[in-house]
Amino acid sequence: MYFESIAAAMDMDGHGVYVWLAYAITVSLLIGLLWVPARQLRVRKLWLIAEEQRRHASETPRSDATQPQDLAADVRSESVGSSG
Amino acid sequence: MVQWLLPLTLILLLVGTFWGLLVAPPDFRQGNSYRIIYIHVPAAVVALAGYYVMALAGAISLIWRIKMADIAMKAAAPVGAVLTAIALVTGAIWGKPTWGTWWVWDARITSMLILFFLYLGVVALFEAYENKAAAAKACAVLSLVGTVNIPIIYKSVDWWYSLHQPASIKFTGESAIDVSMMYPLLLMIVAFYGLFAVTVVMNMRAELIWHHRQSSWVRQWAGFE
Repeated sequence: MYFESIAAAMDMDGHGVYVWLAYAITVSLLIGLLWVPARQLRVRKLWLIAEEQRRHASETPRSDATQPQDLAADVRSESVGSSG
Repeated sequence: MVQWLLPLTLILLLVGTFWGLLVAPPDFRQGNSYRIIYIHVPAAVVALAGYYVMALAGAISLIWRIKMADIAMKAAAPVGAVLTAIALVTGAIWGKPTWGTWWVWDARITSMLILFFLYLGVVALFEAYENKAAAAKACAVLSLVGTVNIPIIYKSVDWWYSLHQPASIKFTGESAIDVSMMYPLLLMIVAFYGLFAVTVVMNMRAELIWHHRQSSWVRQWAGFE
């Protein structure tokens, strides 16, 4: 460990502001890079599940038709990829 | 692939960041501001390598009309754009305490800015066409034309003398950086390559699942069959 205290590591002889700012921006951009496809995968999986339930509901119209459609409406309100 | 590569990459990033920020010694001339190197150089290196990956996918798409190449090209472009943005922003922040200015219009920085616009151009061009095949073709041509910029970026610090320092790590000859600083840097470069691979694969998977939403493997993935 080069720095002797947390305060010294924060300050870095006056360069701390620059160094920590650069790292903070990088970390947030990298999290965004991972978060976008992870969310897209989750939303698309939910869409597929809702689609499957919609199909089942139309095959057997009398048995609990309301519940799957409610779920489908929930999922549809979330964006499922703009262009596909 | 993502299941093991993502945790491995995150561990490498954490170790490399800790090492570079808190363990490595300060630079004898630049002091502690040089610690930005551990994100600036890896981001720039992988942004350049990623462009070749994208252009190669573009060439494969043009020559053999393989749809997977279109998807790889589309998946790599936003990742490359973000990495280039990181290199530019961290470079500007590094420049302030070191050169006394956030920005200079020198060859290295200007050609990196062009790389950023090339990546953004590919991202935008994919969205501009209704016809996916036409979009892929236009993007492939743009990526291939843009590769002329990559050797210019590499060589800019040798061809034009400017504020930007030349490369510290050399494959041939002695590196101008001490091992105590070089090991965490190499670790971070590997970690950024891993991150590039993980994010491109995740982007491709999201795209493929949407393309093949009727097929049995996607239904299996969603847990139906």
